[in-house]
Amino acid sequence: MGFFLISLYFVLTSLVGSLCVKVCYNKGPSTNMLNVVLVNTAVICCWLMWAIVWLAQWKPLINPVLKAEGE
Amino acid sequence: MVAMDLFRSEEMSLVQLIIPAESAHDTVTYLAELGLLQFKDLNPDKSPFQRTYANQVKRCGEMARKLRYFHDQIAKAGQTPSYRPMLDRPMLDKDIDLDELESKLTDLEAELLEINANTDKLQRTHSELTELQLVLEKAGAFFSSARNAATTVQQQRADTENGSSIEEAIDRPLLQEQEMQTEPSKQARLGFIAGVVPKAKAASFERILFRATRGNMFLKQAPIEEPVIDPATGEKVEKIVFVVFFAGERAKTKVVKICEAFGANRYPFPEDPNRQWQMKSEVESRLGELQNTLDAGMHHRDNVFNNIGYNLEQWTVMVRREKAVYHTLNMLSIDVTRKCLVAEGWCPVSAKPKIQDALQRAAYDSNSQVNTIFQVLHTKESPPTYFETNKFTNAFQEIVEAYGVGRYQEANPGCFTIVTFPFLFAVMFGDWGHGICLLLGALYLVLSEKRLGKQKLGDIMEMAYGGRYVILLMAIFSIYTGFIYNEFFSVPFGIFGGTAYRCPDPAYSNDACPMASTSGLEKYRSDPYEFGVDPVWHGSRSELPFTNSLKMKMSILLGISQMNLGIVLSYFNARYFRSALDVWYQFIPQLLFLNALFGYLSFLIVLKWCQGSKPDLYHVMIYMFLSPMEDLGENQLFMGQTYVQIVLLVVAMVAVPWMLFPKPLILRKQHIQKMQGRAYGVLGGSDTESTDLEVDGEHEEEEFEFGEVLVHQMIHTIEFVLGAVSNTASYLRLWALSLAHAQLSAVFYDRVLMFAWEYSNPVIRLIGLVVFAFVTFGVLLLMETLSAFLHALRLHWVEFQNKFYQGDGYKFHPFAFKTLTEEDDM
Repeated sequence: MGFFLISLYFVLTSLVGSLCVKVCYNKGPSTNMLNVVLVNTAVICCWLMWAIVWLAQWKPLINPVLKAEGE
Repeated sequence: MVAMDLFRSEEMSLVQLIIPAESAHDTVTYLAELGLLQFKDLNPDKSPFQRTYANQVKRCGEMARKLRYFHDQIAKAGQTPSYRPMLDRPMLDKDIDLDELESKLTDLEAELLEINANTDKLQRTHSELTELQLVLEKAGAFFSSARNAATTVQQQRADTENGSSIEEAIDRPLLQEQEMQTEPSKQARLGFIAGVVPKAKAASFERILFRATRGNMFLKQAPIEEPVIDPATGEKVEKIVFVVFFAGERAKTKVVKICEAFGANRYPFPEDPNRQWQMKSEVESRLGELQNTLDAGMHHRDNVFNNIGYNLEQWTVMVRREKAVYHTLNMLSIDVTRKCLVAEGWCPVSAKPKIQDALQRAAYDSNSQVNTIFQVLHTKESPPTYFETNKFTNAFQEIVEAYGVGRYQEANPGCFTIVTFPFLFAVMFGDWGHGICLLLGALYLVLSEKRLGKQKLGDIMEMAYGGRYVILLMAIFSIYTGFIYNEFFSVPFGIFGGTAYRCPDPAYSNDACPMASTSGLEKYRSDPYEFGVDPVWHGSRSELPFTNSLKMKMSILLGISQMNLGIVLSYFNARYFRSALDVWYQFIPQLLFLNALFGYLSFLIVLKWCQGSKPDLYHVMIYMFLSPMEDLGENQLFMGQTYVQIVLLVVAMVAVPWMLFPKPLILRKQHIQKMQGRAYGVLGGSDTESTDLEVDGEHEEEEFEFGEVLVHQMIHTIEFVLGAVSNTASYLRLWALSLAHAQLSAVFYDRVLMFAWEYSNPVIRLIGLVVFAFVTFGVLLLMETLSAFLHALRLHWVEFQNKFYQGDGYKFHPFAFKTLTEEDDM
């Protein structure tokens, strides 16, 4: 199912991002922790929005009705 | 567990310094260079004039005034002196002593004043002479032309007399000979005054002269081509040269008075052409001399300015710092007998080694016999709030602190605001085309920050520069949400795979589908469009019903998530301050109340999406309160929904008194126990504390008013319960603004750009493009950014922060040289 697959990408992004912050931008434990929190908050926000839009379109109640010519 | 940066403000301690008087100045200077200690004013009851170092402060103020005078003078002379490169630590430049500087400045000021006075005097003489020269020239011209005319007339007369004495004898005026005889005597009585008068006043000057002399005067005037410098004011004025002829002494006094009244400068003007000529040459030579003197004077002044300007910046900074140091010294309390100064102040605990190091260096450098004593005081006073921010986090922290500076060590919303603020902004500003424009602007600011940081910017630019990282994140998130909303200047793109909809009759493509405008396209696969809103919705008749439903529900879900985060942060606060009371009687009932009602609503929204069923969620929520026992019928989403709803309702109902009553009652009980225990327990802890110094206020009686506490808790509870409803509704602004943004950009795209594109004329297309660009920039990129920014701000300040943030602290203001600004000179 696409939902879990793409969500997995988000989880991977979060893991890679957290790791990157710790390894490539190492500024001591307390700053690293802030940066990890920032990365994860961002990923969660983005995932939340994506998931909402995905779910809302999953089983639609209304169909797209195109405008007729000249409308 | 590692403490997170920015989550709690730095741990502070109140310290006391006992500084030997001889090293006090150096110590304060070194501490100001370090910039990590906030001095407390220990003489709040003394006026500025009663303080120990009032005299020094006054001297510094006087020096600052002189420096400002030099600065103004140099600016007035239009010079840009070569500034000496700033030293990092000009205070320690021991070769310039403050007293030395003071005498130097006094000398320089006197010199400059003298130069100025001399130059003014010379300048005045110079302009007077110039005017005189002009008068000689212009008035001389009148006289010589008049003389020429007179001689030609005489010549003619002579000619006629000689040539045709008989024929024209009849025409000859009878009185001619008498006239000729009386001329000299008349000439003697005709007086004249020559001078210059401003052109603007010339007309009224003439009129007044005419009236005052009853017409018995003759005014001759000639404009001066170029404006001349007025000797009195030193300004350039357009003037005219005049010569007034009049008869009699009385007329003369009148004319003189009128001249004075009009600011007309009179100049002596000899009648004799020879003397005129002589005077002219005299004036010319004097003018030349004067010019030389003036040039020499100017040269000298420029030299002085250059000398001053070379050091001006340095001196200004030095005086500013000295003044600040003496101001700070004034806040210390002085102990006359022991010849030492006592300072108290706040510093971050982590900065103590640095401070002690600075103290030692100061004592060593000032050759003091005794070191400064540094000790920690214990106090119940609330310490200031201090976050160590960098250029990235600073702007976000300022957004939080614009609402209120956090209480000491309470959870700081700042570390979540860094992400959630730009994110909520982007939810309202979702368009990746606009996002890219914003990103370019932000990148410009960020990449040229070093250059921009040095120069002075305008108000608006200053604000944009300060918030450049906020704008950068806002732009990045806008691009993301733009992809989610699938909008690029309101145009959808099918980047992430094709649309999930097709014509019910597979023989047709989507565009040619005959049923597309009646029953609509149908979804043909289980998964929707993979990333964001399906492009097929754009421009369809069902676009608004779909996006409205989506965005409204999204606002609620995002809002509930953020408010839950806020409540969880209140748990972190309660745990940090070891207040079990707040965990059990505030955090838990609040969490239950919010989620029993609105968490449940969120759950229903998601469930409905997953089922694709058609129950009416408004109906479900409303009848959950009105008649919880009733059968839901077709609005039922899951088995046993009625029972779940009854349980949730009961939980919510219980949560309200749970929030309201236990906390004040338990506080009261604790207070009573404490009062009873006091009679016995005094001896206990005092032994261990006796080594520490104690500060006033330690023994203050803790007042406990049960009524007050109860009312406070009642307000808090009511605010939370009502707030749960109104705050959730407040998050709907996310929907409203995002809708407005999408619709506005769609209107601009369709009505401006597409409208112009229908014409094949390239000029109309170009005009359409330009108008579109301007409207997009002005309305969408400026105004919409501002409004989305303000709404995101509100959602953070009110809806998010009121769940946990007290915001009643005060900011840490260390005494530091680098924070001194030009305003401190005044």
